[in-house]
Amino acid sequence: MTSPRLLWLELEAFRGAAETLRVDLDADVVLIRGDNGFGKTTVVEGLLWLFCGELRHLAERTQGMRRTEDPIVNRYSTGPARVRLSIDVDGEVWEFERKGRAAGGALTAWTGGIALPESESPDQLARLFGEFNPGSLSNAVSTWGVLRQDAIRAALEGGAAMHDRLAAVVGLERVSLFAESAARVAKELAQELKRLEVMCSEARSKSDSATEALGEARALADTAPAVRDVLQAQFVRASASLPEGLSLRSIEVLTLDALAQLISHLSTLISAASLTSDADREVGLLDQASAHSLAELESSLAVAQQSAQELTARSPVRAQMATSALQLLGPTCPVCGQPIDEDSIRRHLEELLLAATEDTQAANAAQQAVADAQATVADARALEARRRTALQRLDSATSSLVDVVTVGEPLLSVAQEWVRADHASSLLGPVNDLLEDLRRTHLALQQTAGDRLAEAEATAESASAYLRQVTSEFEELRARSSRAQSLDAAAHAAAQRIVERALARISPSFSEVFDRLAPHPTFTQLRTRQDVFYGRNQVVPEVYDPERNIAANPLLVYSEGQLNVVALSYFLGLALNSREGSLPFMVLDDPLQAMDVLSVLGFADLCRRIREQRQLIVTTHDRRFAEVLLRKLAPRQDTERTVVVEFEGWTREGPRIKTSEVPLADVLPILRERGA
Amino acid sequence: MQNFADVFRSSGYAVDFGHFEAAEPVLLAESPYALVCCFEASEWGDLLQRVSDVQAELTQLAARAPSPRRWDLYVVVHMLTRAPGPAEEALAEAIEADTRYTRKFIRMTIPRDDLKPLETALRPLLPLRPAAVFDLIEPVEALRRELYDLDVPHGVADVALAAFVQNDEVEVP
Repeated sequence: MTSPRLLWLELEAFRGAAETLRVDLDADVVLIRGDNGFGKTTVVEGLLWLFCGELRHLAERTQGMRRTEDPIVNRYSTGPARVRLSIDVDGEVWEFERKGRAAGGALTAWTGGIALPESESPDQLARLFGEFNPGSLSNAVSTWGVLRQDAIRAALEGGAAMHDRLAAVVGLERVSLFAESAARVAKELAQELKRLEVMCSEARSKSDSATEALGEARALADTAPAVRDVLQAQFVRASASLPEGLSLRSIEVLTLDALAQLISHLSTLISAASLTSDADREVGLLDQASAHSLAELESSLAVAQQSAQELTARSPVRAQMATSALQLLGPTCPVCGQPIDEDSIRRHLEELLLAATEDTQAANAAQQAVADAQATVADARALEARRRTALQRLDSATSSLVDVVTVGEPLLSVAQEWVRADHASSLLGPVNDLLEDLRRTHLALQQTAGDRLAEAEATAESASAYLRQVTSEFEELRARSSRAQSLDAAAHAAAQRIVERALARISPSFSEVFDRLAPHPTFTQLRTRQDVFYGRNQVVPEVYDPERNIAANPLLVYSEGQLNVVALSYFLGLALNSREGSLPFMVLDDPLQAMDVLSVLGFADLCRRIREQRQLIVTTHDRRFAEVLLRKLAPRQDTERTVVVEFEGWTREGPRIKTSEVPLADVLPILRERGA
Repeated sequence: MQNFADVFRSSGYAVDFGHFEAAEPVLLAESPYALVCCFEASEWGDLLQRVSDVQAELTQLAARAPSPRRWDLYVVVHMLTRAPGPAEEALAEAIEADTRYTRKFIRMTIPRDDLKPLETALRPLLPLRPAAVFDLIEPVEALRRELYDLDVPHGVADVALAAFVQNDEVEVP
């Protein structure tokens, strides 16, 4: 006996069952038979809802309807819906009840009359059936535990879904999950990249606009009507105050830049005129300082030197002679001894001595005069040298001034008469006044335009910085997105390879079922083929004619009944190969639709084999086939139990059922009797 | 027929070679669920008649022990020659489609040196084979090997897998 084993299922206010309906499941084969619409599928859906917590196929059916349209709760009851399942786990009885509506139902568990906390019940249910969590239990039940009518063909037609189912069977759900997650990330990054690309484009556009606005601001600052008017008025006023020969030209568009250039030119002109004026004044001063020519002074010096020389040569001899004679003078002649007129001679000698002294003084005065004359000549020579230097400087400054005026300025006209050195000082006054006036105007206008410019420049810089930032982020994201795309492709290829290898090993299981049902005379082998379609891994069903070596998709060459056999082969193949410890039961909801007698007989034989491994619950609406199944599935041993749940009809209260047990069929051995 | 006997025996059947008037020898295989009669033939001309005769003898044999076994009688014919034409193919199909009294299987030219084709031919009568045993594959490591093999930079693969292990979501560095 398999364990866990489903014992009974109770339904209330659920789908087709308004009042409490209990279905006996305590058998290794439960055959649920009844006409269509009598509520067989309600039992299957009850099991699905209890295990999975949802009925996805019904949820899909109610898409687009109002939320009040509840596909779970019975229309003849107020709800909530309730499904309770009793399970025997190695002698310990557990009961699980799900109660609620389509929007959600809570699961409660009991054992030995003790309820588990609601939060622990789903995990407990999963653990009992060897699954990791409620999600994996739900996946297992919906994948290989319960085969719904409409899911049979859907599995065949949805190659990607079949791939996922196969991956789940071989324990490779996470391979598929990884591939899906990689695809999701790649998609998200691609979307993010697109968003950033738009942002980049917008930022670029903003930056371009800001740069353009900056240019316009600059141009506007120069050419703004207010500025132009002020400039023009300034020009008119300044022109009126300028002396003759000096004037401002009027031009069509007067700009701040042009004004700045004029100011610069005026500064240069002033500088040149100032130098010229200074040099001219110095030359004039030096001219005044030199009252006598140097030649006259040198001539006077020569005369003075001559006079001084003569006086100096005469005066010392006469003074010495008179002084000596005076010392020798007495009443007699010192030479002959004769008396002399001493007084008369003394007077004469003293007169001589006085005259000599005067000569000496005159000589000294003459020497002084020479010295003075020499100093005057030296001064005159120095003055002359300075004058020559000043003249050179004047020439140079005048030349510069001429150059400045010659080069000219579009806004300024200077007559040639102003270029003369002796006019330079006269030029300075009006030009200086003009310069100061224009400087004040320029400063004021620049301040006004500058504010607007500064604002535009700040905007442009901000836009440019944002563009740089967004571009940088975009480049980084583009590289990341490229890696994600590569990873996505590789993840799918990896999943394909891994599942393909597993598929090669699971394929015999499909044959194990398919060969027993043998639905087609020529396409007698069933295989699966891995394929990638629109970037998704798919498993494509394939039937094969070994005689002619031809393969085909069964959807194209098989009848409906034959296709049901193919779908059943996949489902049972997967179920029989599900991981160890997985579901001990299998629910087949009307699997015999459109099958011929041979397939039904084969299926019945197959069910005999399945009951050895799984608790089997089969529904069918076909009474003839039900009879065949009953005969085939009658227990042959004491350990086997076959239960028939007959759905006799349906009322507003729900299905009317009758449960019976198929008696043991004693099979007397024949060969043993024959002595085999 | 010895191969047939071996396959049935290894599948839990009791087997015995017997003598039917319509075919000799026949192999009888019995389980709680089924009584199978196998014989070989090479002539297509009298196939229908021979199958009918063997079926009759098998039915009589089963009737000696009253039990539900009458629903589980099988005749397996191993044709030693292939169907020479569509008529014979249709004949084989018709014989199989007639499920009155017994279920019939017409199998053709089964190699004698390999039991696998024979097992395939007899599969409807054999127990389910044990499910394929899968080595436990560590999905993340399998993915890592494949991604490396597919030239994904190791750094990218490692970061993506590490994030996936941690929170079931791939991250791209």
